[in-house]
Amino acid sequence: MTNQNFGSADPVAAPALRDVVFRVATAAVPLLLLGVGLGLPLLTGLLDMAQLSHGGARLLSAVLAAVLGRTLLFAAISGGIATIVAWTFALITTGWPRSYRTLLLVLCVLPVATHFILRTYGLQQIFGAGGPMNSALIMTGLIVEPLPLTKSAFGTVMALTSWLLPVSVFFMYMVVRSVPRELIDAAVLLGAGRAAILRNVWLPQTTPGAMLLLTINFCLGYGTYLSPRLLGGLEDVTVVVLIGQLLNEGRSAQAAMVGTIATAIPLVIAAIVFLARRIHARSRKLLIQRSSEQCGSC
Amino acid sequence: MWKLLTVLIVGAIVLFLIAPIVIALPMAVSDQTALGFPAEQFTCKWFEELATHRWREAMASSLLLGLVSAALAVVVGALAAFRVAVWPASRAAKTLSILIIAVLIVPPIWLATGYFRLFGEGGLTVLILPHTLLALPLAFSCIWYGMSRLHPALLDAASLLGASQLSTFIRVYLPGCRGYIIAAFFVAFLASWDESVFSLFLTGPNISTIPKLAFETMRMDRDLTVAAVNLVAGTALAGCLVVLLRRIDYEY
Repeated sequence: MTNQNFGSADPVAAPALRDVVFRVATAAVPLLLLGVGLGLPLLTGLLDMAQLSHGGARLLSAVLAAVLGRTLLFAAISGGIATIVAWTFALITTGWPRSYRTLLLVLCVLPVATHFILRTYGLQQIFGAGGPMNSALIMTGLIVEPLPLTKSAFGTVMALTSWLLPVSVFFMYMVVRSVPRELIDAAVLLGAGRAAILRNVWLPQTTPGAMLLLTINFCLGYGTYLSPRLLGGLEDVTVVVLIGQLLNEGRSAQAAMVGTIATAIPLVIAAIVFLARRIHARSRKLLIQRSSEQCGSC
Repeated sequence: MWKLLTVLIVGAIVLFLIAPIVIALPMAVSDQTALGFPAEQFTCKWFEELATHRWREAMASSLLLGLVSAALAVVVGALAAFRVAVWPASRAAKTLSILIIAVLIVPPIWLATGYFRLFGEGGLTVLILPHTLLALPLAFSCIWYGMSRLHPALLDAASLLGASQLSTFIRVYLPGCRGYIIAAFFVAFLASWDESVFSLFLTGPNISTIPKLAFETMRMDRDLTVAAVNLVAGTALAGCLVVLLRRIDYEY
């Protein structure tokens, strides 16, 4: 789909002015929104950072590396769990009757309409020290004393997962529903079993959607404030909770420094991955080219 | 055995998601003024409270804000998605997709302080921009996924028939992924409806959205009207979702 001159019946004719305008608008309108909505506020944050003293920056950077690493880990784990669970849910229920599917999906998406304080309270009741989860574990004899399932690292991951899951389930449902039914029918007609259909049709068709969801979930989990604040432990603060704490204490310059680094680090990681993939692809291309040349000279 | 296992897995997922709500939502009919489970006495006073001016205003504000920012996010997201889906190899397309997804990485609390410095406390209009920005990556991802699944031959056919790019966008791409556009609007609306950080930072004392008012009233431990609001909103959401799913099932 790289037709640079589409919109014209004549493929060699120059593109019409209205096409050029529209093409520019498809990039300019989103970039304008991003520039005003994201660029300007971030710039004010950077100006704030200029007021930070050298000692304050050094003190903070000692804490920041650990907090950043922890946040990236929490985001990766909760994003991964939410994606896999949503994927599994969508794949399992796609073959079920429509009424069941609709009911289950409505139940799954319902938490989004509930205020986060109520949801958090519900989770605290279930996973708290005297909650049904700990009681069940004690009753089965797996543990003797209640586990710290809230106000801990587990609490943060659980809070993030439960926050990400409803929209993930909805998104994966859309992805799975868009797989052409003819492919499944063809596989059945060719005698493929359930496992073969899953491996050869469902997974390849839905993997791009799942990867997109994983990226979104990771980013959302990384930037969330309220869920980890309410269910996370004091020693397991995420980078966003740290920014909140610094702002509450009136240390806006330090908050700006953490905010800038917190925004930059994932982008730098993404850039490194992107470059590594590009170098890998280019070196592979060169390798193939050289081997074909060698074959030619043989 | 396989069927039992799948039922158990789906049951566990639904239970994990619905159990906190089952505990929280009955507070809409609880006589207590603070969160507590189980309720000792039942009342309808929180539903009566819903009819008061400040809650009605907050609901209207949240609804308006959600609809406007979702509509804007879908329009901008659709334009960006068209660019990325039709010319995926172009530099602008790559930059756009990275920048839009990167919005999610920026901590909202830090972004909110930037907005506060730029615009100060204001009315609902101040909230439209950040809400649209937060909803944009979700709307874009949905629509882009839908557009990228359209057959490339459609583009060539439109081109050969002399359709302009704008007309291809409106008459081929938008109808081709209608289900995804409706889903994008739905997701963008939910993102705005549930957003509280910007509402707390950027609105003055006279303006309230549902998350802000709920946060304020519950912090003071004197009001559980939010549970009643959520019960009403949950019912409305379920209705919308049933209609949306019927549409998706019809299209795919």
